[in-house]
Amino acid sequence: MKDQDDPEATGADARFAAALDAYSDLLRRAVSRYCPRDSRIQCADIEQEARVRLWRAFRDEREITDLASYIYRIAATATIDAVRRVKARREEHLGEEGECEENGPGLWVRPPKDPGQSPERQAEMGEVVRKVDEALALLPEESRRAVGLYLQGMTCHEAAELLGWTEPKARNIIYRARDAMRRTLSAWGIDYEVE
Amino acid sequence: MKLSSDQLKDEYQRHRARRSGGSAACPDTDLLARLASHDLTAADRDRVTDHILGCSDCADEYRVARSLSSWAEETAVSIARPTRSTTARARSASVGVLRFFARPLLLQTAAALLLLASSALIVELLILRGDLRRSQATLDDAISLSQRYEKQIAELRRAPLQTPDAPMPQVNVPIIDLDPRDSVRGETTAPVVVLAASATLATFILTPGEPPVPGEYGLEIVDPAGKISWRTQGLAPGPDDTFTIAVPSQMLTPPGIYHFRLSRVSKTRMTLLHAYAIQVRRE
Repeated sequence: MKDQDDPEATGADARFAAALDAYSDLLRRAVSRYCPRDSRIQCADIEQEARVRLWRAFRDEREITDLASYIYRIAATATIDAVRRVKARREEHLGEEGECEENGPGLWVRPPKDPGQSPERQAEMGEVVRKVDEALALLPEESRRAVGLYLQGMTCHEAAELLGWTEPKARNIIYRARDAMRRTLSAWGIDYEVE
Repeated sequence: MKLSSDQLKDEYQRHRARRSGGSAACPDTDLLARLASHDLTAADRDRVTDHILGCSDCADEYRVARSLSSWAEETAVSIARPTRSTTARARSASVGVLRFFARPLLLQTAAALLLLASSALIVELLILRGDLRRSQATLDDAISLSQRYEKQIAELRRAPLQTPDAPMPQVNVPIIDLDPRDSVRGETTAPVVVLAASATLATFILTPGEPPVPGEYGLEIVDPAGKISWRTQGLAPGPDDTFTIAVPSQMLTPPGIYHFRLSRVSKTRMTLLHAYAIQVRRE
């Protein structure tokens, strides 16, 4: 524990507190962005647990060689765990919409984009996804992996990192593969607009 | 059917969510974090990427982890920022030095350097020991040789000195008579003197044509090349009116025609009496 009268300790505590506040903000944004489906769930305890893990990392920083790497690892795993727990809790609370209140410091999971989607529409979308898979299967291996990551929402830069390519190579392959897939789907009666 | 690109992506991702049976064996959080920080081998990266292709939740989580890297770097810089007083800084400097050397990598490096240095010293020590052993052996040899020489010197001091110059009996010494007729013969008919290899002396008896008058005589030996190789005065006739001279066989080398020139010596001049020619050969 640091002495409250020690200016060094006080300064460090202030920096730690500021860093934790910044982390909490990042955590909330991550959860709200990546857990938008189904019900609203209050997850202050999850945030608190992530803060505690990060606080311990800060407290032990004197024994750490690569502080940035260590903080990143702790924050990343704590955040991913938090997102996973929010999603798991969402499964448990599915159908209990309105049980949690919006006020207070808790986190809220966004409702689904189209909660009123009809079974017919869902079946139709399922068929579209099946045909997308078939169109992907017609592509060469490299193109299939690249456009698959694109469909998973990855940017060209992220896809390049995951595939071990340069960004220009990833962008080139994604664009070409996406056009090929679009032509195939168009021939099968599915048209989609490329942004 | 018409769809926007975003709608297509949303549906694609929704059908690959965990809840929709997208995947049951997702990589653990640490693996995803390491993937986002490029801390995986190519094989592991490909394996997790293959999983992400079929799991939109892990794709989301990968992006979550990736978005934290810049924040982590800024936070690390912020936490490590020095805002201390001079005293505190001075105090922490020594701690910093200790921490510097307490780092495992530095310790390992220092240990490796020490090991290298000690190895080099051990090798040097072994080489020096080898040199010392060789030097000791050389010194022992020198001492032994010195002792042997000392013994030999002591023995030589005790024994009588015998050198070639010492008066020693000579055996089988050839004795050649030369008479005045030899002085007028041609070189081809000069008497032949055969010297054995072991002969060290040859004795010549020079007979003059008439009895010599008392007085001093001289003698010159002329080698085959015509040079005077030896000369003496004070030669005196014997009781039988002959002159005797013992010549070392070395003076009769090389083989060939030698001349002994006998002269009468007066106060002012030398008068040649006879020149004796001999033909020297070696066995």
